[in-house]
Amino acid sequence: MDALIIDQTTQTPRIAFDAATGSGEIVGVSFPEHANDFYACVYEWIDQYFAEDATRSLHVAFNLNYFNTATTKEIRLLMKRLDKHYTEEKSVRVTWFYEDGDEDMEDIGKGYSVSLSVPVSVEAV
Amino acid sequence: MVAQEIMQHYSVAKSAQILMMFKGGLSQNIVVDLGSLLQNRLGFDVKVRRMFGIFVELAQNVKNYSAETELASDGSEVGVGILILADSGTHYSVNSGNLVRKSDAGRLKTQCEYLQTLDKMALKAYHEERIESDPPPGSKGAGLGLIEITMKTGGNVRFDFAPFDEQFTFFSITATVEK
Repeated sequence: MDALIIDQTTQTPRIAFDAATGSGEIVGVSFPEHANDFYACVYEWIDQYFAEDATRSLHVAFNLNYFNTATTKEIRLLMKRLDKHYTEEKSVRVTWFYEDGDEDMEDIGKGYSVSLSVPVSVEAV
Repeated sequence: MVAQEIMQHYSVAKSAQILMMFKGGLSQNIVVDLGSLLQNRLGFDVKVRRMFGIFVELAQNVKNYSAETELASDGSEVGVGILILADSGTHYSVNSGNLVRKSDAGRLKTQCEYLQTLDKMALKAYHEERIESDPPPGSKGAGLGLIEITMKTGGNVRFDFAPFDEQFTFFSITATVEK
């Protein structure tokens, strides 16, 4: 399965999902014009990853320091997708990184860690 | 004469402590460029990021919803409006203004007034409810912009309306963020 790699731009984050390491990351800022189009490939990659082999494990790291409201919705959908795979007995975990002192980002991560079943570790960097 | 006029613009900008002002069509590329300009000027620490978030939200709001539009260089139709970022010493003031159709102004005003009645917990609950539902008809984003602006400013946001002409009303948003 091909890795999914999208380079970071001034308006979109770096996306890097690799089946060889069982890990994915979303890093940077996110305020694309069409957030749903931008993130569609991530959902597809994750679904295919588990469709090929349900025994695989996946660790997804979010390390964003700014995203807009349309992205908020996409991240929510992505988290729910990961949560769904987790509740279907797949090995999934999430790390939500925030810059030490950034309470907004910390709160968002903590919100996910309490509302979802999939383990979400919230860590300051 | 020309110097006099330009000096007036200069004096207004200086006395209002304006860091940045833009009037025109807000394509996504312009929003991104204004964001870069802002970062070049102010850096990108946590407090600037909070202000930046509001700035982008206001800019995308004008882009998507202004009733006055023009064609951007890439051929897309974008909203026209004004964005003003000012520094009041202890706070940043982020302002946007654009035209809305008179026939839409009433609904928008009701929504703004409703948001201002909500406290922090109620805003969070309303945000949750809206994020889970489909975007309202006519929405080009997630339909969450005004809610997030209100949340991010901790309620320090003012929505205002002024008569413009027969057809349009001028809609402004003023958000205040601690520096």
